Amino acid sequence: MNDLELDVRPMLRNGGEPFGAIMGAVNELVPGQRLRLLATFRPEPLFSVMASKGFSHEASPLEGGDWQVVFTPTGDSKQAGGSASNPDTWADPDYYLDCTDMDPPEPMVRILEQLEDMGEGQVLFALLGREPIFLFPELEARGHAHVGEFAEDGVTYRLFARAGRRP
Amino acid sequence: MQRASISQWTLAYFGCSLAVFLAALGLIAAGFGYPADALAGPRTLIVVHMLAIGWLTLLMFGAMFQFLPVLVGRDLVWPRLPPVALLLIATGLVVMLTGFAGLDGMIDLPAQLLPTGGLLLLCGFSTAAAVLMATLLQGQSLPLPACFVAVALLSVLLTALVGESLASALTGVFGGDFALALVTHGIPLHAGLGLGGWLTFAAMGVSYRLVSMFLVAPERGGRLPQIAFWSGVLGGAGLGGAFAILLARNMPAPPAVTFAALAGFASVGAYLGDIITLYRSRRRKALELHMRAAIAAFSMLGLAALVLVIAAAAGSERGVVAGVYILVLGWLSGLSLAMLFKIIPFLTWLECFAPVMGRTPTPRVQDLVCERRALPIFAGYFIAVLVGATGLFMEEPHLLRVAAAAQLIVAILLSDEFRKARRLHHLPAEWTNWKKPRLFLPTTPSRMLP
Repeated sequence: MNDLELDVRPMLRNGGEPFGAIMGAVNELVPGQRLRLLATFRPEPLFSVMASKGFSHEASPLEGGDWQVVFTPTGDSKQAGGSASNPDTWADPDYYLDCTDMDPPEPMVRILEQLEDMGEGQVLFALLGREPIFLFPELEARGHAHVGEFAEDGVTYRLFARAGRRP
Repeated sequence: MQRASISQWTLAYFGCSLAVFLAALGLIAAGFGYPADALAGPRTLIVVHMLAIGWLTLLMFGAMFQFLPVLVGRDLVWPRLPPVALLLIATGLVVMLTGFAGLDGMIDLPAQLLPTGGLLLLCGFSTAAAVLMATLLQGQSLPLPACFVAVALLSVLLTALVGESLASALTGVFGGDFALALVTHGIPLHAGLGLGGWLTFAAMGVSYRLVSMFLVAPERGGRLPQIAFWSGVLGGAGLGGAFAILLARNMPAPPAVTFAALAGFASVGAYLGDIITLYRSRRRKALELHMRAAIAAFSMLGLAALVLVIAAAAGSERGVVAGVYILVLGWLSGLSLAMLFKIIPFLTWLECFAPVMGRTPTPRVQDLVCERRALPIFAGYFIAVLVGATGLFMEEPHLLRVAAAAQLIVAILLSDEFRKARRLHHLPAEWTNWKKPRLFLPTTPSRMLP
């Protein structure tokens, strides 16, 4: 079976955010098909997202500083829903928000708005320009679970938020 | 897990500090103190301490109680102490000013109130510094802005100690050669530690983070921030060393003071270079008014540093006075007013709308202020500062008084804008009946907000 190839280098060079395109490509894969991704850097943030979707990865540097990553389906993707207290069991992110260029408190508003529209157990993946420390107590007050970390660049913050039950 | 909450007492600090600021500007406009009184005369010292302690120090502490937990991702340690510190500082300031008035003979009260007030101030500063220092040490890491704050907190305590020694010498608690040496050579050290080591260094640390946050620009790393920090530390150490020599030998130490001045100049230069880089690397091209007003304040810091270095080298007293005026009223006060124009609406927004955000539409933070009205006010403020400094340099007291009166008027107008932000005055009609927060006093929210 041929790999599905996705080259996000032009998008990255134009300052774009390829996450949506990558998730779109993943949805197009037929069972057992691999995804071959070409990027201008080693896309670390993607590995945990793809692992939760049941893909292992193999990254190799190309000439000129670019990277090729081959994602191979392992067939053990997470079941939808999962347990709020254990992020390893969460569903794949259904929603994605890029808040890196937003001025505070807009990221907070956008993330909470999005979570209001999501069903219990659905997961939102958000990229932020800094750690959203005013957001965490607000997420907890509304019963949403969250887990996050800084990306390798030490600046971008990746947040996974799992919508809680409606009051 | 890092988290942050609204500091309950920050707005009370802001309210007190703005009231003292208006009063101090009123006194300058009325011709109280320098140049009618001597530079180290009691009336001048009343105005200077109202500005340095009542306005700037209270404002800085209030801002830090909110800012530092955000910076290190920890709740404020001993959250019951900020109101205690506020009470001690406010009482200490009133007692100290009364002592100055007694020294001047304006009122029939003993000048011995001066060291009593100084002691109360020292207690208040120590309380606030202990809360902030303990919060810093609880943090998971110590980012560079926090290092600036830590050094600034040490400086405020040292400033207060030197000030208390001066107050004791001035009022005859102790005498002899030591008292004479202290009064003759100690004032520049006290002023340098207070305006440089404490206020300027704290403003630098806080602004590093705030500027990058408000401009959506990457945090500054690399060599320049390190140069800004370590040069500042060396400058503070130079002033501390000069004070130690004064204590030990009753002698001034001009080389140590010169070294401190040059190190301070290098620190300011590196910092301003960083700020320019931050503005240039910003991802938000449009500048909000508070960040435009901040450019004027940063320019005032550069100008003040230049004027002070040239005037000190030339031995020009009026040049030094003009430089200090630009430093205190242009840089420190200008930056404070610019940041308040963002911080007050931001905290108000969090207080009013955080519980409902995402569930119902909320206004934007910018909707709480009216930039169109505030722009000429800020412009008027900075122009008035330059006119006032010119009046001091040209030894034209009337020009200074007119400029201070203009500053007073625009500061009243700005304070009114802050009040309107708190009262949700500028919001569209649909928010008219929204529950408004208290102006200055802490509210007990129905649910603990973020």
